Amino acid sequence: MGSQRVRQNPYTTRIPIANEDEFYGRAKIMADIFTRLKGSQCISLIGERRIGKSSILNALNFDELREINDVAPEYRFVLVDLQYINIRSEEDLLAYLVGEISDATGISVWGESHRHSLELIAIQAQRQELRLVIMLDEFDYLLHNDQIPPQFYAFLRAWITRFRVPFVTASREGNFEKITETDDTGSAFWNIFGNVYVGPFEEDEAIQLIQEPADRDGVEFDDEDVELVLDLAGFFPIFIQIACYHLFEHKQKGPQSEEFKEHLKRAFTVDTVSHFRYLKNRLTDLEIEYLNNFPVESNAREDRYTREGLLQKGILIRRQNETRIFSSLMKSFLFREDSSRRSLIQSVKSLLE
Amino acid sequence: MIDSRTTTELCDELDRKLQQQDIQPEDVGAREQLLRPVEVSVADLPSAPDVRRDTTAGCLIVLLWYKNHPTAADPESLFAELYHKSPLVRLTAANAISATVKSSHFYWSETRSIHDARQVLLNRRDAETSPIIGYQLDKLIEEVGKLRRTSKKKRRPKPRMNPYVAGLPVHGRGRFFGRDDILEQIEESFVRREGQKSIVLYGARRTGKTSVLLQIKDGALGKGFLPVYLDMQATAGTDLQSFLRILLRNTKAAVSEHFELAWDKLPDIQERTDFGILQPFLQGIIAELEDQALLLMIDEYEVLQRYRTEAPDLARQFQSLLEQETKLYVIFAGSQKLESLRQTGFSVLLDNARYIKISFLKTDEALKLIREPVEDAFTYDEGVPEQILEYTNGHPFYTQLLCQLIYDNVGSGKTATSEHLDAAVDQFLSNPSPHLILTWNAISKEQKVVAAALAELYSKEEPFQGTNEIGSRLHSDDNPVKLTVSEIQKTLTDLRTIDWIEQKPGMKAYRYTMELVRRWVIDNHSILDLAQGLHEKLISRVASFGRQTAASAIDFGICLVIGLLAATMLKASDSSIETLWLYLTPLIFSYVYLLVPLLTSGSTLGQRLLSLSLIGATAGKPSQSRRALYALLVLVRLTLVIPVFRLAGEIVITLADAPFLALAWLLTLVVLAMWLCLDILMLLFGKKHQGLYEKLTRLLVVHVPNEAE
Repeated sequence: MGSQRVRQNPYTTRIPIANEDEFYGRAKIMADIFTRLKGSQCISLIGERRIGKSSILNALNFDELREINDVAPEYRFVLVDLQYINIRSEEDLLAYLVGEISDATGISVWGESHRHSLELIAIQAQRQELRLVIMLDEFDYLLHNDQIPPQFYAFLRAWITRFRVPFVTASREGNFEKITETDDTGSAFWNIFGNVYVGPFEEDEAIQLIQEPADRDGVEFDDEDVELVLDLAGFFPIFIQIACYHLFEHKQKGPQSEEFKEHLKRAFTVDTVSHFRYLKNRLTDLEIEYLNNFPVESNAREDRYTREGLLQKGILIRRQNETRIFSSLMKSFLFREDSSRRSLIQSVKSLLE
Repeated sequence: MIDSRTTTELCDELDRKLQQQDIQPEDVGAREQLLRPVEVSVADLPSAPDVRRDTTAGCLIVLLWYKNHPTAADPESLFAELYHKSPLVRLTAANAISATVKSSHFYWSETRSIHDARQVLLNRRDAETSPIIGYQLDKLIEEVGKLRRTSKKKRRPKPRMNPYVAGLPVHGRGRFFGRDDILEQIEESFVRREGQKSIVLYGARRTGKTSVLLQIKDGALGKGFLPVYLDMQATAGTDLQSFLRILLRNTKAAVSEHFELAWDKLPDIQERTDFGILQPFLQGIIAELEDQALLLMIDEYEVLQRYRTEAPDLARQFQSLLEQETKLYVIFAGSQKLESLRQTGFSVLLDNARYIKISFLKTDEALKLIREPVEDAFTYDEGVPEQILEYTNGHPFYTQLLCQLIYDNVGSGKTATSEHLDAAVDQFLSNPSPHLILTWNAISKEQKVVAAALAELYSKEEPFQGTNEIGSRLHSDDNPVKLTVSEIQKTLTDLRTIDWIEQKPGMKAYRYTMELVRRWVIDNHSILDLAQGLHEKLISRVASFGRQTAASAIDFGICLVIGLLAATMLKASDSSIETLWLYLTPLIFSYVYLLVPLLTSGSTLGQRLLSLSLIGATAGKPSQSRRALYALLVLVRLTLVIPVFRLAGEIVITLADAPFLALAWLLTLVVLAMWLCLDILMLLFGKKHQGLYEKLTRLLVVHVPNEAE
């Protein structure tokens, strides 16, 4: 078929996915989110940094996903990325929000205040039988903004309840306790939210992300390649992207030399060391102790919960009836650094002595 | 139809014509004239023409047949023809490939094939010199691109939609279960009780108060009432005028839904809105209602107290309005403790109200909530709905949440089993709802400790536990908060208001109402966890070494200066009593100076000047006995320093008249340095700036920044 031109590497994504063609996996989560939204439930996306929360927000507006999840055409998803705006007051935020809704619906309003405008635009949307969904990305920016008074969140809660406009928020913090640690929003606001945990991919989703983009560009990642990537990246989409990027580059260079795997590991490590450190820092003392003693045969309640927590986070993965630390590199990374950390129980005991 | 002999003739003829004239793809007319008859001739052939493919004519004839029979084509062989030297062949090949795409040839169902093909097409497009073939290839690339997206779409299965949604308050009867008793109580209060004008609907968050109000808004109380709903949170942060304007605007909107009113006869609420307008406005509306009464429903009524400064008589005015207007009723709904509002001047309004508590669903209502939404999808194994209720006790929110997870776990199955329930409980515990976390965050540390102890004491044999058992458990676990039995009792009562625990009838014994919550407390907040968390929090507040030392220096400086002054004043005396007095004066002063504040407010003057405070190493305010012990240790320290102090005093007195005043002051500084050294040693013996004395008495010196700082 003639000479092949150099292919563009399809694994370059390091920012939230905005293109439908590049979005993989998350079938269960997307179905869960759409189900809740249809019931007007507000959702807080919880998960570690770079796990793909913002991509999921973008994906809510993808035609294909809307279609297969039977999302009616009258739904209008309004994405508000809070890191790009300078909010100096409640009025600033409301003006921005009204503007974004106006762009998404084509409705223009002018109220006596911006709160009133927000009410009017919701009334107009209801009259036109449009269903609004507000997606707030980087919600932490708002939570930590001193210019937004707690009463504003009470107003938002009332607005949400009255017009049945669900919110979907994504925050940088990995868990809900952290989000509400310096909570000025008031429990009434968060009470109407449900958590949706965004963890790593399922195994089949991970394999799809490894094989399909390369496949689409005519490069085959065989079973051995898949195992190699999974050994480095586990089921984390960002790590899979990075590992596949380097693998794709190696494949472009022609037949693989003996040292190819070592080269790949080195390149992958350089790209991921800060991510690995972050993941490690997010582990509790109990989890670190568990991993240090891994594999732990004990089925004691404490060990069971720690194991389940690590599986949920993707630090442990289960494949072919075997549980392992998600990445061989993470394993060495964990054991290399301060292995002498004390367990929580030990520290409690010493503190109470 | 033509036979194989004729096909060969056709091929030869086409070959001749091609040699005679150089027809390019862009010569549309000539091309059509040449190829159209050939295409028509071969289209009806039952199989691909058996002609030599090494000639241009042979290629064209075969490609034209495939163009008309795309499903029989091998697209890989068609791609090969895109490299043919004849542009007519290349164009016909592109058209044939296009036909295979449109015919949904099985080749295009493979993602791999699509990407291979796309790559070839992109390569050929780059190399193609003929504009019209280039155009055809562009179109083809686009068509294949669409296939690429479709191929991904096909892989995603359609999910089943979960019918359980624990989200916003419920509108309409479809998803609303139970609460008939609450609605009956409300109706009975207003209709049958003479003079009952207001109701307080109270209960913990997420028990369905707003949903009940929305049911009433949708007409659950019948046509006798014209309901007006106001969520007070919509007025949060606004002034009284805005609140009244929103109230009247909502009233106007609710009335307008039912009948036309001459609004121009009523006061203009845009101009000025105060209580003076509210009364005639509502009276004007009520006068127009024939057989109906106006029912104001004020949700999250606790917000009203924010207006108490702006309008101290607000509650009285509301009550007066209710008394005057026979056809005006109010329902207040909220979750805050009523007692706390009584103190804010709302007693006049709330004391006249009937209180109706909203809490768990009744068993039959909860079972209906579990079973009905999934009647068409699956059935629950025998006993599973009851097991769900063991976890949630019919709490509407938690029941929906568990059912939501069970639904996901059942997937396409037909039965929900106890395994599905167990998995759902595990999922909930690893990813609890914000409501649960926020409720926990909002309760006091005393409540947390008691809740943790009660959770740990539970056993199936004896689920109820008394205050004595809880007290013993707290004591044995060296808990961070020391509580007396009466304090435990009070804490348990507080926990009852959030529906977390219940009391055994007639006994002072308690247990968790929801096993789900108990499990979460056990897993996440054991007494040891609480001790650890609290201790770390306190340690992080311990004052810096410099600040603690500076406070000591201030105290010492004051003792020294006053002591020296007293000693100087008394130095002229020679009598032995006065000599004794000379030594005792600074000592007594220092004792009093240090002891009194330590025993009363818990910190010395130096500590207070530097915003330091003494607190217990595990809890807030230290007990009197701890403070007394601490004061005793400080006295020991002072007494240890006294001989040096006395010596310094004597030297100063001796040298005061001599020309060695500088030396006297140098000695004073030495004493000061010794005092500081002792303090430093004390602190170094301790841990994290917790001095030896503090460590012995289990106290901490913490920095409490004041507002100015």
